[in-house]
Amino acid sequence: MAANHLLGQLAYAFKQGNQNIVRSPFMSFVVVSTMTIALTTLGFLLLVISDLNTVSDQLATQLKIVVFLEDQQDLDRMASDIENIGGVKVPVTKITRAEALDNMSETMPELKELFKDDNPFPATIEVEVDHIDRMEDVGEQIKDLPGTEEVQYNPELAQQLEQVQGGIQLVGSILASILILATLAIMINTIQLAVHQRKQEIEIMRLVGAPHWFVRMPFLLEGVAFGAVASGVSGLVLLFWRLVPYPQMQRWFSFLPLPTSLTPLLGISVLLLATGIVMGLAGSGLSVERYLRLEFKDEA
Amino acid sequence: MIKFVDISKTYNGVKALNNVNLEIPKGTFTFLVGPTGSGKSTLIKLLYREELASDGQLLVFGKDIEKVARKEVPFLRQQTGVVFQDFKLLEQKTVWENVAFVLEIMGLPKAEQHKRIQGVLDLTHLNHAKDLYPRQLSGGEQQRVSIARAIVNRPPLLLADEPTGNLDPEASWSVMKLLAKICQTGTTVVVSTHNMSLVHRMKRRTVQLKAGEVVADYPEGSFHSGR
Repeated sequence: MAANHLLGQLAYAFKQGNQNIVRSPFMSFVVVSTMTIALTTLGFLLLVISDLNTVSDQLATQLKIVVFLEDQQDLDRMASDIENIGGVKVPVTKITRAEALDNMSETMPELKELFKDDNPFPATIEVEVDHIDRMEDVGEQIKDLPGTEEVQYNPELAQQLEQVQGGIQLVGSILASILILATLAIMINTIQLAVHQRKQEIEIMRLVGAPHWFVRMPFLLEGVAFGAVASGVSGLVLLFWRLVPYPQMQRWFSFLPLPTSLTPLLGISVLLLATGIVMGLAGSGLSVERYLRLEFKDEA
Repeated sequence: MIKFVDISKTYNGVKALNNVNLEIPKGTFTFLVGPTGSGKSTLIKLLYREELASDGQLLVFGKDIEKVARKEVPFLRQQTGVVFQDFKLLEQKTVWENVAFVLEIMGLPKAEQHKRIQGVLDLTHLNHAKDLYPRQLSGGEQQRVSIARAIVNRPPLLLADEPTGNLDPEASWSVMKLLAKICQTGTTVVVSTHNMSLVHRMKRRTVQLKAGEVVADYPEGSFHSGR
């Protein structure tokens, strides 16, 4: 019996939430538009951060540690020792002394004849790291390996790329927080207008003994619906951006390794949906609580 | 059933009720009378816990109102019907929907809702108006809708705060007769009013308030002698 009553109450709360949206179309439009703008901006921000991270990761993988070996060192053994260092991408690229001479001869063919009997080029190993921040550590460990003649890499460039990534994430997080807080403030005030329109209904609900959750439920459902619709529209805008103007941009900036995959968009859309629903719930919840406290002195 | 023990209520330093002691037995009809500002409405508000007393103890249904937890308040209110001078009907709902609203909140099945609403519309003589909106009704009819809504949940206590304040004499008398009829079903009825002619005509127990204090308590049929 109690379960039946609860189902009936829930059904009624759903109906009321739906009626609220229909009864206040202007308010619904304002809230959904505000949320859509905020979520789309947030989505773009996340997409740009994701793309910049991909670009910087791509650039980072092009940064290599070049290890020159001492004469008479066993190239395979050295390669194996280096591959055992944590953070090194396996396999490393081995270049024998003969291959080094061949490579150089491609640009300067006379070298081949000149060094035919006495090849001065050392055997070389090219090392890539899993992540840019490991480069300096890996470089130092290779330097300590016996048989290493010289290690060449650019720690400053690696650090700079790392700082750029950190900076992008920090600025992105600050912008996203400001965006979410500003949208919440607009939502709370707009939804409060709708709550005020239903003042008498709320008053009667309280007087006839509607449970606390029952009074709040239609507004919370309304908030969830606003969040879901706004995030859906934002997702579509981002998809359109990725499918239509973005490929053109890729052609303009063909010198940059801009990502082509739609995968980040999927993750961002899920994140936008979750953010939209949480924002809708928080906006409606805070709004109705504030109103009930002010108008009816309800304890929160 | 209802017991006020040394109840006082202060608003911003002004005493609205001062040491009120009063007992209202179950199933009785009680008038609260007195001039504006005498504390009638405050007394009613304490009974449905819209306000809390500043001092004293108030027992309703054997429970100390002060100690009822916040989450229990809706349950307490489900056992108390309240009727107001301004009716408080929802303009966008029909008579039927206004009455059904309470049962929707309770989550009652549709068949049970239908049975109960039909019963109270019969009792309040509103069958002809069930599909009309409040603006299409007279003041007396609107107040009868408000009473129907207050009793559809079958509460053991019915409170009416100046229920005839906006009505003509004929409609007022019809509302009072209806409240008396509801009392006959075993419901405890408490009515605040300053319509003395109705109080005389009804010959019910009458509690007189003045400046927040009970100054007289006339048993049934004796109010005329105390004027």
